Amino acid sequence: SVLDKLTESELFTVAVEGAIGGNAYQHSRVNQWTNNVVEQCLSQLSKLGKPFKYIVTCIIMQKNGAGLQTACSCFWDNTTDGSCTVRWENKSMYCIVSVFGLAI
Amino acid sequence: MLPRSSVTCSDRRGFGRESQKSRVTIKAENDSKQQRNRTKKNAGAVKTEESIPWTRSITIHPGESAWRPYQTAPHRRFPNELVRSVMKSTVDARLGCLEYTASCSAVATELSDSIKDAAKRLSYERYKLISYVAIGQLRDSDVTCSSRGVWCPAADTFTEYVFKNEHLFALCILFAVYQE
Repeated sequence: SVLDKLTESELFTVAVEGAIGGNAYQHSRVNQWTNNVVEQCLSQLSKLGKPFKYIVTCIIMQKNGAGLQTACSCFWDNTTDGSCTVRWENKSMYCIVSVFGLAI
Repeated sequence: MLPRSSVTCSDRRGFGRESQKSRVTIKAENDSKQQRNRTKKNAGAVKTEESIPWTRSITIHPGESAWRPYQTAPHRRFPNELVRSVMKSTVDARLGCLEYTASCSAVATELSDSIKDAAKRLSYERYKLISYVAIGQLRDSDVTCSSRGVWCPAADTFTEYVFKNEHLFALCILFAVYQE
């Protein structure tokens, strides 16, 4: 399928776009949006069918001029484990998705 | 050419006899004298039902680990409360009354390394650790964070701590994933 040809970051960008694309920031819906983004990413990863454990983290921040910095540090096997961070934004909000994959 | 070492695991079972405990022996494969003697011994042997051994041999090349047992459950589960208190002390000491500036990116990186190192020092074996830190400015912006994992809930876990002062907030999450 088309999804097979995308890289991981493109895959997650598509997942975020599908979950919250085209929406302006709404406080009442942002909880559900973060859950949707995380679930979409996990379902795409599960479809790959690889022997990995996955952790997906999503932060949605309203665009009001405030700054945000994220960092992650990992103790794992460099040859088998990895991560991917995707930054998405529209006019009213930022979304940062971090995905970690750990081999079984 | 370096000699190859081999690991032999044998568990003899005989009809009418109690099974012996399995033992692991390491022998050098290129020990030709031993091989000759072994061949002589087996040449005239008559195998009976009572003495059929069941053996499995694994050849390990130099540089590989000799033994990699699987352990489906941890002896000690990762301690959430202890890790949370460690995270709290690390973050409170580092951030304190810090104001949010552009240099907070270095602070976030340093903090995630410190939390990971503090968790490593607790020495919980076979756990992979992921430390995630987000530092944000307190300025009328709404921030929501959620995370989810596909893992083994019996062994894997996470710990989180949220720090807040007058100028910034810090969200710290530590994921501990068990390696079977």
